Amino acid sequence: MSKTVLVVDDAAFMRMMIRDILAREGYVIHEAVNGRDAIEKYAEVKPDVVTMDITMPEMSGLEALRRIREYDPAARVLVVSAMGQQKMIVEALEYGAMDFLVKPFQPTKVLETVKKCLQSTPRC
Amino acid sequence: MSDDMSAYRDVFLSESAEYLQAMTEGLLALEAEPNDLEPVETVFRGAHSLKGMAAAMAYGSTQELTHKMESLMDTVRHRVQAADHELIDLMLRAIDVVRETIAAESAETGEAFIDGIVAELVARTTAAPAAPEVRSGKAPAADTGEGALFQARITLEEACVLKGVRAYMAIKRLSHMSTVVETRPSAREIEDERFDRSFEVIFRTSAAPEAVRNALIAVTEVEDVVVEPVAEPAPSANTPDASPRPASSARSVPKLSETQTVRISIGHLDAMVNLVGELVIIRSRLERIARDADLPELGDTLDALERVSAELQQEVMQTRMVPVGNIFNRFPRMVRDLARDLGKDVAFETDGLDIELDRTVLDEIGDPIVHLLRNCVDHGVETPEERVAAGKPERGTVRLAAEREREQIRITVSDDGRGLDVGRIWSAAVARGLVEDSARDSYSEHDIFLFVCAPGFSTVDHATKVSGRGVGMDVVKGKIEYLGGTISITSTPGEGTSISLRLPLTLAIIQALLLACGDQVFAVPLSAVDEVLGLDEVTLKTVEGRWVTVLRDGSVIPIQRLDVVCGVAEPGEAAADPGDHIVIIHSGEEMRALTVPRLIGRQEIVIKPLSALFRGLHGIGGATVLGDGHVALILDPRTLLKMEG
Repeated sequence: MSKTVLVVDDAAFMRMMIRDILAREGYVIHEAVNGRDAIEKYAEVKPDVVTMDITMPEMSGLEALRRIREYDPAARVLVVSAMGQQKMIVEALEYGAMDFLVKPFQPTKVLETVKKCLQSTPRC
Repeated sequence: MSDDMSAYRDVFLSESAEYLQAMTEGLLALEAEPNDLEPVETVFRGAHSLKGMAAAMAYGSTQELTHKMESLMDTVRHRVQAADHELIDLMLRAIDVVRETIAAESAETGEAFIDGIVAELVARTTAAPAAPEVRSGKAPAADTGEGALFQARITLEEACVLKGVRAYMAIKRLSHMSTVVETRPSAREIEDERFDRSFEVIFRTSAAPEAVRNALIAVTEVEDVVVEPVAEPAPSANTPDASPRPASSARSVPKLSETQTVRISIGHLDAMVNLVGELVIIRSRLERIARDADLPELGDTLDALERVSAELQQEVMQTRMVPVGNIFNRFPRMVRDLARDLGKDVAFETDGLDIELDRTVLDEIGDPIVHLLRNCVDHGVETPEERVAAGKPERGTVRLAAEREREQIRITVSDDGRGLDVGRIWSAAVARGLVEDSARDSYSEHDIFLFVCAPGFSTVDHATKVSGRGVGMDVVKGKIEYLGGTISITSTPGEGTSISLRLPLTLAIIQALLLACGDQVFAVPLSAVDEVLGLDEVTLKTVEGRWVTVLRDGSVIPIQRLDVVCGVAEPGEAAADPGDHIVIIHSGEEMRALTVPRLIGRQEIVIKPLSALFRGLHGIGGATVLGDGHVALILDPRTLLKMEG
């Protein structure tokens, strides 16, 4: 069965890029436009992996990550960030993010990271 | 990705424009409320998102510029420096440059010049004391664990970005299965990326070295891991202080855009409107066939078709409707800049931003509104000193509001400034020979105000760079009338001026009253029709050799024969023939009665632009194709009323 990925980013442009990269490899993509939306969609679709942008309106990716992990300790979340957000990524990893992607990303890197994420066990 | 990058460009362009707009609004809000952190977040986030998007598009200059903007806003976020007027000015100018840069880079033509603005941004960013360093991450724990001591040499991939965080991730993973004793270089240096591609971690574990290695190599971007046992040292480990983690930075901020939308090119929408227009025409044609052939069954089907096509038409027209906010939102910036240039203190208010208007109409009214707003700031609102002297609040108000009035929209531009001087406008109109001074009594105040829309009209003694050259208001009026709208002006000396534009919601399809004059069919926009009367309901008489009609309420309106107006008949003695109908139409405040031989009825018509042959024909504004395939000319009440009766 194909794996589902919840792509969370406030920029439609970024969602479109990640979606294109993953959909081509057979992943089923759902999208959320901010942290709050991500939490709702997570509960709704129970994705195998979440790619979470950090800087978003309504609710930041960090807060959404924290809440999703609270709701589902087995949640696999990748944070997506830009250069210069080291501290946020570290914080995200502290909150239980499994890995991170840095914009701009290579499609191969996105695929590799998502795949790795699916292979490893979330630490509860 | 690079091969199909162009597919992303359109999305990038429209979304980046939204971000820039949100940032502009944020900066203006910040200027009004310098202590409000919410707009700071909006602006910061906008710059940040744009940077990421630009990087993905490989728009180097845009990326660099937005990065510098982000850094500057970061100092404001951390309250390292305040967002004063200069900073906001700088950011607004930077936004302008971003627009140009994006245009240059997306078109792959021309060069983006960002050095100047980047230098300014950097200077302003570094002018602030450095932001306090917030360190994060766990420092290695003291060596109190169980098991044997090992060393892991971890090498990251060449292409690894954010090596510090990657290393942190590896160390964190390691710490789950061991006790990390020491790192080389130090934890701080690793976090600060002060290492090449490799670093070493000394740890104590009871797990198998191979398991540790496997766990580490599974970390993304880790290229190689060598795990070796090390001899027990003399215990003196280099353990930097643990520092507190930054608090969660979750914050509720205003949303940028959350509605689910699809972007459609305006070309597709125009094509859809045309097709729906054709459908409306075909439907009318079918109705006629059904009626002529007396086919009741077809009639039922046609009723259904009518319902569906009416809904379709409504939906299509709806897709063309855009909130006026789409163009209104660029005005706050303009008013602000203008007020600063002119040394005025102006608060700008908008209302009715969600009122929707046909895209075509909206695109056309941007410039007229700009002109009216400029007049308000330049001529309307007084200087702070003048205002105080006049007992008014120092800060003037300019207001731009939209409201819906049935099938029309009214846009009002108003100020609380000095108001128009009726006497001065009248004198200027007389001086320019627009009117005889003796005719003063027959002009209402409203009529006199409208003289400011006469070509070349100006009461200003000297022109400023903004306005006052006497060009503009006539252009505004011309544009509004071209759109089928009207303009009206009210003003009270010392209290302000208000200019209202009434515009149709849409241009393409209108409700019309069809009239016939011999074989020729005419259509009058229903919005211009006040009343249809029988000959017996009015009284006709001549006043000074001209025919007028006296309505039941006593009002007197000039009357014209439609056949004369449209050149089918020569002017004769009678104002009407037996059996004629009287159609009362208006344009703006003026009214006119038309005698019409035959009324056909009310119908929706699709306006087609007139061919060059008909253009310039007074009284005719366009043409439409009727259900029977005949062409009907659309009467234009505006020019019709200007014709002599």
